[in-house]
This record gives sequence, C-alpha cells and structure tokens, in this order.
Amino acid sequence: MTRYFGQQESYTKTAEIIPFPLSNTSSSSGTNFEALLTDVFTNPAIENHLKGIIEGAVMDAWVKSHLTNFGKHDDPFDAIYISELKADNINSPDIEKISKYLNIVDLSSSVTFDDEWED
Amino acid sequence: MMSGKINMFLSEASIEKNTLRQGDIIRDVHLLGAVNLNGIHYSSPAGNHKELASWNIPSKPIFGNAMVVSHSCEVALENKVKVTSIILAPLRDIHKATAKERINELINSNLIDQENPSASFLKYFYVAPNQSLEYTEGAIVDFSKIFSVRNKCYDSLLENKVLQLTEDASASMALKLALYFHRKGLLAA
Repeated sequence: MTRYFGQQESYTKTAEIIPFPLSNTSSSSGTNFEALLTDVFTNPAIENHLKGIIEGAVMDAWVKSHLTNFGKHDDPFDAIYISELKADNINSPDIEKISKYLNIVDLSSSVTFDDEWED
Repeated sequence: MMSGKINMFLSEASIEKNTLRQGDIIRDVHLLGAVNLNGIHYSSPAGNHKELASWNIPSKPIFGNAMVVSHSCEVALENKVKVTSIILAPLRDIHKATAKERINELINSNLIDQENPSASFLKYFYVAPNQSLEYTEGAIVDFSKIFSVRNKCYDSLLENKVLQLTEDASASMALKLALYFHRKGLLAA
C-alpha cells in the first residue's frame, strides 16, 4: 500500500462481530404484550436469546469504538484528538517564578561545539 | 551550586524502568533536531508533485543520546492516553566545546541564581559524567535542537532509557528550558 505525505496510517484489525439482528426472530402469538413480557421473564430460552442480542450489540459497539479507531490517537496532528484534550492546570506561583527571570541574559552564544551538528 | 561532583541521577535501583519521565536520558536515538528542510528530497512516483509518496535526507544520520524534555505528566505511563508525542533534546559532548574557559561557568549555571538572576547559559543544560554515558567530561543538553517523536515510539525509547534525573535536577532543567523560551531577550535594532 502506498502512503502519501500527510496520510494517516491505516490499520486492519480482525475481530468477530456479532451482528445485531435486523428482524425479530422471536415469535409471539396475538398482541398480548403482557403475555409476551411474562414469556420473556419466565422462559429461559427467550431470556438467553435476548441476552445474546444485547451482548452482541454491546460487543459490536465496543469493537467499533476500540478497534476500528485504533490508529486515531497515532497522529499528533489529529484535530479530533485535540478536541479530547483537557486543559492543563496553571499555578500562579509558577508564572511568578518564571516572570522573575524575564530579564535574564542568555550567554549561550559564548560557547559553541565542534561536532557533527555544524553550528 | 550543582556541579559534576554532585550526583544528579537516581541510582540504578531507583530508576523507573516502566515509564518515561522528564529528564530521562535515552541512548542511541536517531537525532532529528535541526533538520535542513532545504536538504530534503521528496519523491512522487506518479509524477504529481501534489501527491508526494516519500522523502529522504541524503546525508549521514546522527545517532546519539537524548533527554526527554516533555513534562512528566505528558509522558508518564499512568497518563499514557495523553501522550501524543515525546519531546527530546540531543546531548552533546562537552569535551568538544570551543570555549574551555567558560565550561565551569556553564556547569554552574544549571542552578539559576534566584537571588540575582542576571545571566545564564539558557540554551544548555549540563549533564554530569556517568558510567552509563560515554562522555568523560560530561555533556550538555541542547535545547535549540529539540525534536519530537510519535507515541508509538514510547516502548522503544523506554527500552533505551539509561538514566533518570533526580527531582531537583529535573526541576532545574525544566526551569532553564522555560527561561530559554520565556526570557525577554534583546533584539537587534
């Protein structure tokens, strides 16, 4: 795969996704809602079936949020990540401490180095 | 005064092996600071200059030691979700400094004079000699050649962590770094 300048790397993660059923597979005769609820809470087979549906939906959501977005935080220039940042605390004493040295003179240019950095 | 005679590093047993901290020294890092943007070669196999596929710098890479200058809160393992990148600054052998007569002054400048903060070597932070490093006379961290690497490099940096500054030494480094950027300075008229 060719990556272009600035393009985020893509990841392929395989995971078993339990599909959320699109049609109701449970059966119920008539429109007696109360009887249906009674069935749900008393019939272990229906209870297990609903449990499977809910667990499948939860797992599906988890897989989508965790695996398919796995590389999201990998890009330090990702605007979405910036939106998730929380503000850092700033202590007034820190500012006062730094400001106290505002007029300090830097002598660094009086020492140079004869090495591979060529400066 | 903080000098080479005062131990500025945690003992081997006290080094936190499972997390990065501000002031950690990492060995054998590809040092990317002070890159010559004009020396980068870009390639676009499709012949479309708007779709660059790769780039390279046709010069010898510089490998060496670097210090983590990111704030500890940014790189601590317990806050790993916050890490987007790790900021590093290269170490340079103080033996190669050109003004030998000023080295002691530079070394002593690690501690900013809080009573009379008149002048200091703000671009450099002195690192004392240590058996984990090859510098017999010590080194300096050069804040003017800072660069960052992505968070996916966290574990490889951790593997190469050899030294950790004491809390006091780390605070002295951070103050110098802050002043290097914050000072009022003198601009030529």
